[in-house]
Amino acid sequence: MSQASIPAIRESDFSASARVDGAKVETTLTGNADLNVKSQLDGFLLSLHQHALGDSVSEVVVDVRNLEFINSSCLKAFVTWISSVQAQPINGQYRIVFLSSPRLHWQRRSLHALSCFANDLVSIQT
Amino acid sequence: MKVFRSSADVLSLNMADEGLSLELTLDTDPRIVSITRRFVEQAMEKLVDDADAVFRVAMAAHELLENAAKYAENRQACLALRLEASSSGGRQAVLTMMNQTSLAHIERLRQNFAEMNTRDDPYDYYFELMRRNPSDISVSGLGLARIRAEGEMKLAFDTVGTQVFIRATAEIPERRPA
Repeated sequence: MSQASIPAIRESDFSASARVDGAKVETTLTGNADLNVKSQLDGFLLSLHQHALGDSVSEVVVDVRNLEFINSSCLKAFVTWISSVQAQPINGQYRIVFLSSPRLHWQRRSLHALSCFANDLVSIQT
Repeated sequence: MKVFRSSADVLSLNMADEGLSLELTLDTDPRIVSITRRFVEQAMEKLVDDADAVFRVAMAAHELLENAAKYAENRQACLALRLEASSSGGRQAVLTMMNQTSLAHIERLRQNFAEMNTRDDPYDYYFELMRRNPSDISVSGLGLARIRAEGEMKLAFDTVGTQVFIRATAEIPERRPA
């Protein structure tokens, strides 16, 4: 497993990082995703997508088990990313798996909404 | 945060009827938004034995205040939260956000509410907005629809001049036995 060429985010209240494991990328988001980190999250997800396309990644795992909260602007960043994957030809698409925690109540509702938005690509593991 | 009338730890001293009435006059610095959400969450946790309901109200407070942070004209907003008896015999949480904004933003809000009120299913409308311009990262446009869908809240909107009021109301499950 190696660090991906995806710049990590390290803020006092939010962090995001990615690691490559063969055809899989594992990302971890922690803290509080709000307006203060929106532009950084946009950049992180864009880099992640470009890396996934360039390296023919088949699956991206997004671990949000320690992501306390996400606002609608950052949720929109995920919508933008997922839409970019949907826009690829079928053989260029990759799966997105969210690792969620039942103790964080936003996850049941917001991740369910994302999975309904793209149920062919997005799944949730608790 | 400039003024607050009660802290989460002394809320029980301020309880009347259904337990909670607070009003915060806030600077619209985006860094204040999550601090306020956590405060609302802690306040609700004292009185509501349903973590999902607490999340719904705290999330709505965050989204409303973040809207004010983006669009308030004088960098100040007022967030009020009341827990009160509902007409159905249970309890409801009522969040009201008040701030000054531009006439152009008021017109956008009026259009957003008019459109939202023609959509009966909150989740269908939420997904409709997700599909609308998904590549536009400059604006989310999801906040109010999220409050209505994920928050299961009723939304209302009013103005007095350039003062805008947005009210979000959530039904709260029965309180825990004493």
